[in-house]
Parts: sequence; structure tokens; C-alpha cells
Amino acid sequence: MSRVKEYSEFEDTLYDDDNEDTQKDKFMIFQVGSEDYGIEIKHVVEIVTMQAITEVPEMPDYIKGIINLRGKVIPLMDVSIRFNLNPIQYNERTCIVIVEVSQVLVGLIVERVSEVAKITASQIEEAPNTGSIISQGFIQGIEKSEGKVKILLNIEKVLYHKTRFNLRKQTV
Amino acid sequence: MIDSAYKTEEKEKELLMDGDEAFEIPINDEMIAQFIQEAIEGFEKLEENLLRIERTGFDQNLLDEAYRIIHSFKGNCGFMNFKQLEELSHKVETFFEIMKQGRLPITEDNIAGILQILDIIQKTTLNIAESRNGDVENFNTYNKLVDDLVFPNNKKTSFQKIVNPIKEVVIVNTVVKNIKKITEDKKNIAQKVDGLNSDIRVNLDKIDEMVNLVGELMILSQMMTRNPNLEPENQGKFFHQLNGLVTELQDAAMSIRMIPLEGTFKKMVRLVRDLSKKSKKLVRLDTFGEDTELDKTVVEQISDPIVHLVRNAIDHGIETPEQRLAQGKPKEGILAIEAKYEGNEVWIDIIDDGSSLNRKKILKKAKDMNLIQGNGDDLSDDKVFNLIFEPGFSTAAEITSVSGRGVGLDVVKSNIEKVKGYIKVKSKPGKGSTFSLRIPLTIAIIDGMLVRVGKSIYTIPLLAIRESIQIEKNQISLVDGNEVVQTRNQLVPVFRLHHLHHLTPDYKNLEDGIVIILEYQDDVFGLFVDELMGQYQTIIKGLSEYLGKVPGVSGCSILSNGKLSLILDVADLRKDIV
Repeated sequence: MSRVKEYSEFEDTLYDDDNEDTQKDKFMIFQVGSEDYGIEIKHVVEIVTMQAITEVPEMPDYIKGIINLRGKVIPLMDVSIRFNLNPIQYNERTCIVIVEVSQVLVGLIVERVSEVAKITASQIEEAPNTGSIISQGFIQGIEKSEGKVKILLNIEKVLYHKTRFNLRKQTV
Repeated sequence: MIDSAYKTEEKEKELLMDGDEAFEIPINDEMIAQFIQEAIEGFEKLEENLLRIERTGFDQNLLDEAYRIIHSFKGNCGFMNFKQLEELSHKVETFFEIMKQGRLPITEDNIAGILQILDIIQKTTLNIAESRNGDVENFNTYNKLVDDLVFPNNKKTSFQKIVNPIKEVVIVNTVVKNIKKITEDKKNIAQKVDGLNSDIRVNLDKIDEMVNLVGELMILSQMMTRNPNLEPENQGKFFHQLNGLVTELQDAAMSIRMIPLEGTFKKMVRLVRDLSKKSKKLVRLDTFGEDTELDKTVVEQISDPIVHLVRNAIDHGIETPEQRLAQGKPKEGILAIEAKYEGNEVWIDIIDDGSSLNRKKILKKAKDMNLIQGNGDDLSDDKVFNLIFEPGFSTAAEITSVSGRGVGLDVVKSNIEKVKGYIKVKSKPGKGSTFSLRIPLTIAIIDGMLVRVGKSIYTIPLLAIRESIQIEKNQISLVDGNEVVQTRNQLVPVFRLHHLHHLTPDYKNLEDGIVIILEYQDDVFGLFVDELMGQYQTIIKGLSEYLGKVPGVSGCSILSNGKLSLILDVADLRKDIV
């Protein structure tokens, strides 16, 4: 009997992992400059360390180039430059967050990745417009807890808002 | 007098119906896709057979095969519950049956009529993906038409000339109209099929070969695991063997992507037939090298350009029988399509023996369009003729329904360039024209030269490189402020890759680094880099959908250290700098 039970528990964990519900309200938090930013976990594919970058000509300054991730070619965006912050220095703690939007993969270069936080809709407040490029388009909302503000990003806007890149039309 | 075959089958059907009613199978997308795929393949063959019968007369084997194809299509329609399609194809089947028995003559009218029915069946079949039913547009008209074909003696409406000449004109008119419409529809076919099915049919031999190679690779890997400390002399042998196997495996994997040009060429048979009928010209189509294989995606890309060139050749090239006789040529024009392997490329020539391109007309048009300076007398024939690929260029004095309206050759050219190929035209007065396509075997793999500028490593397609040279100071001169080097009695402009891509190079003086002489079509130019790092063969990867098209770069490849190397697009570079 106990064997059967064990087995079903094992199955539970197996199936639960990829469940939509477990991804709901979860945000991956990373740091750039002194700020905490969050992106919805469903967009995050994986996090890798810094790689050898191949530069691509004629690109905006926040596109650092492309990397080879197990045979896939992935363009990298330096978030600090994209947000008009002081450019970050790349070191061993620098991370690349690979995000996926409409089947397009892009790597975000961030200073540090800290945690996955659960933030429910009721905790999210509207962001004040401070006139910066971030507050004008990228922000989905902000969350304040323990005296620290987390800026929750609209990843689609981060990739495409006021760029020359075009979001692929969804083919049905 | 009503045919008995018709009737017995009808009864058979009725008997079957009762049982069928209760037995309904849900039709899903995959079944529909497979149904359409199978039907298209069948129809290609069917059409080919019909056209051969039309040319060469009665042939039992060809008719048998045609009968079998339409029979199984009918069966499929019944299974999928496409009633109207089933009915039409049933009658086509009867048509073939009677023809097989020699009771129906093989006439131009009969073949044209049945082709028209097949066209509408084919069109309806392709629409199933969207419409989800087998309802035939103007079903009753076609149904009547096929009845008339099968039972000419039943003549209520018929092709019979004496009885009802006016009606015939009407029918022929609608036939022409329908054919026109159908040819337009056919343009969409390729896209529809694409969207439906990105499957590929692979010869089992190819897969067997690959499986064998994988087997050998496994043995080699086991050998290595068992003898982890190979002595140096065996190590060399081992890696030699490994390299050989990997190369073979790569070839085998690539050959799976390859399909013969046969299908593309076969489509031309019908096209040539229809076009020559319409333009009242006599044209014989000769094809060579149908078994030449190309990457599937390449074959799909070059199919439209070939159609266009064939249309052009018949519309503008080949003359009417009267004109030909007056020039002392046989009244039947010859259109040849030849394909052959040439190194890492496939060459496809489309040759007609009609009138040549008109140098004077082209020059006049080019002047009107400001494509050339001066009167162009100093330009070679080749240069002049290749002006016709410029956007908006067409020498046809009037617009005809066959070759369209001046959009075309530039589109043909850009389509060919999409698959990294190129197109050229040669023409001799009175001897006709030859359009030559040079297409790389595959766009997935490239022979490249690695070059270094500062810290960046680039790949240049080997096909575009004429030579790499070290420059002496006395070879360099300045023309209009641009550096030019003298090589092989030719002055070649040189551009620095580090300027184009804003890099920090090791060397700034031409005599310190290497100049790679690149050749694209007729343009020759030099590219200055720090160092050559050797040749290699690599798989081409797209840059990234996010970044879109990057000027001067066609993609990237993975180096042995895992880093990416940009592949230079020589055609695109040339646009920027020449």
C-alpha cells in the first residue's frame, strides 16, 4: 500500500512543476544599479552566466551582440543602457536572463539575480510617471514591501517599445 | 446507350451506403493535410500522363495509371465524405475507363476538357484546408461538362461543331476564362501546400545510409571508452576515422533535405502546353537533369522564378510559326530547361531558340529610366542584357496576359538571390536567349574562409573569394580619394572591414594585413582584414529574429570554441560600397 502512495506523491510533484498556477503571480527579481526589477516568471527561460559575445554592426548601443547558447543564437540586451542608467561593469556575478516573448528569445544582461517573489495583483500599484524612459513605457506596476520598491516590468515593452525591432505578428 | 459501367457502380454505391451511414469517422486536421498531400502528388502524375498521351497517342500503361490514381482519389473522397468531389472524380474515372477500352478517341478537345475538370477538382481539394468541405464551385456546370465528355453521343450540350457552333464558342470562352482563373489560383497553391505540410518524402536508402553511419559512430565511441589511453599513433588513426565518419554523416544528414528538381520540371510541361496554346505558338519543351537534387527550401524558392522565365521565353522569345518560317527556322520553337551539378552549385539553364533580346530597345529604356549614363555604346552585350533585371524593367511593348506587366525579372532576381544564387542572361541575335541560374546546393551549409579583424572573427563564403593577397606598397594608388590596388592587371577598390563594422584592427596600413579580393557577379572589390585563419565548412545559422536583417551580414556560424562568427553577405556589402 505504502508503495502506491509514494508513487502518487511522486506523480504529483512531477505534474505540479509546469502548472500554469504555480507560475501565476510569480516574478523573477533582478538588480540593475540600486534598483530591484521584476519580470513575470512565465517569460523567463533560463539564467546563464556571462558568455563570449560576438558584436553585431549597426545595432543600437543597448544591443551588445549575440551569443551561442547550445546551438541557439541569442541577442543580448544590456538592461542598464536600455534604461538610461549608468552602464554596469561585467563581472563574474553578471547574469544573462534569457526571456521568451512570442517565441523570440532575447538575453537580458543584469547585474544580479536575487529571488523569485510571489506578488499578487492586489499588491501591485500603479507606477508614478517620473518622466524617465522606464516609467513611460516599461513598467507594469510597482510593489512596495519591507520598505523596498520592486519595479515590475512589461517585458514586451522592454524589448520592443520605441525600438526599430518589430514584434512578430502572431500567426494563428 | 447509357454506359453500363456507370450504372453498376452506382448500384454498388447504393448498396454500400446503408452500411456507411452508421460508420462515421471524425475528420481531423492531420487527415485533411494527408488527403491533400496525397491528392496533389497524384494529380501531378495524372496531369503528366495526360499530356504525354496527348502528344504520343494511346498508351495502355499511362491510362491504367491515370485510372488508378483517380480511383484511389475517389475512394479517399468517399472516406472523407466529400460528395461532390467524389461524384466528379467518379466520372473522370469512367472517362479513363472508356478511353482505355478505346471507345473514346484521344482528341485535343477531350484532353482539354478533362484537364479542366481535373483543375477544378484540384482547386477544390486545395481549398478543403479552409473550407472543410468538398463543395465544388459551379458544380453543375462542371458536372455537365464531364457528362458531355464521357457520353458525347448524349449531346444536349456538346463540343460538336456542326450541331451547335455558337454554344461551342461560349464553352470555349468559359474554358479560357476558367483556365485563366485557375492559373492564378495555382500561384497560391505552393504557399498553401507549404502552410499545410512541411513534411518531406525521403528515400529509405538515404535513411539507411545514415543509420549505418550512426552505427559505425557508436562502435567508434565504444572503442574509445574501452581504450581510454590510446597510444599516440593510434590516436591519430582514431581521429582520422572520426573525422571521416562525421563528414559522411553530415553529408547524409544534408542529403535528406535534398529533393530532385523533377517535380518542378514536370509542372512546366503543363505550363508550356497552356501558354503555347494561348499564344498560338508551337513550342516543344525539352528537359534535362530532372534527377538533380537541391535543398527542399531552395527548390521551393526557385520554382516561381523558373515559371516566370518559362513564361517570358514563350511570350517574348519564341516567335509565331509564321515569323519563324519567314526567318528560315523550323516552325516549332524549342524551349530547353537543363539542370546539372557544378561543384557546390546546381546550374539551371532556360534556353529558347526564339528572337534574341533587343540591345537597342534595352538601351533606350535604360536611358529613359536613368540606369546608364551616356548612350551606352561602350557597354558589352552582357552588361546591356543584364539591365533587364533592374526593378521595373520590361521590354515588352505591350502588356500581355502571359508575362504580366513589367514586375517580374527583378523579382526573379531577388528570389534567386534569397537562396544565395545568381542569375545571368546571354543572348545572340536570331539564336534566342539563355537564362542561367547558379544555385548553391544547400543554404544550410557553407564553405567559408575565416578572417580576423582585431578580436572579431568573420566568415566569408569561399565562393565569393577570388584570391587573398599581401599588398606591396607600390601596388596601392588613390583614385578619387579611394584606395585602389593593382592586381592581375586590374584596378580593384579596397575597403576596410574595420571601417564598415567599426572595429579596432591590428593593422591600418594595407601592406601590413591581407586584402581579400571578392567577386560578386561582375563587380570585383577588395576587403582589408588583419589575418586569414583558414577554411572550414560550417552550418549557417540565422542571426536572430529579434534583430532582423543586419546590413552586410547573412547569418552566423559556430566556431570550434563555441563562439559565434558573423558570415559576411558579399552581395549586400557590394551594394553599400561599390
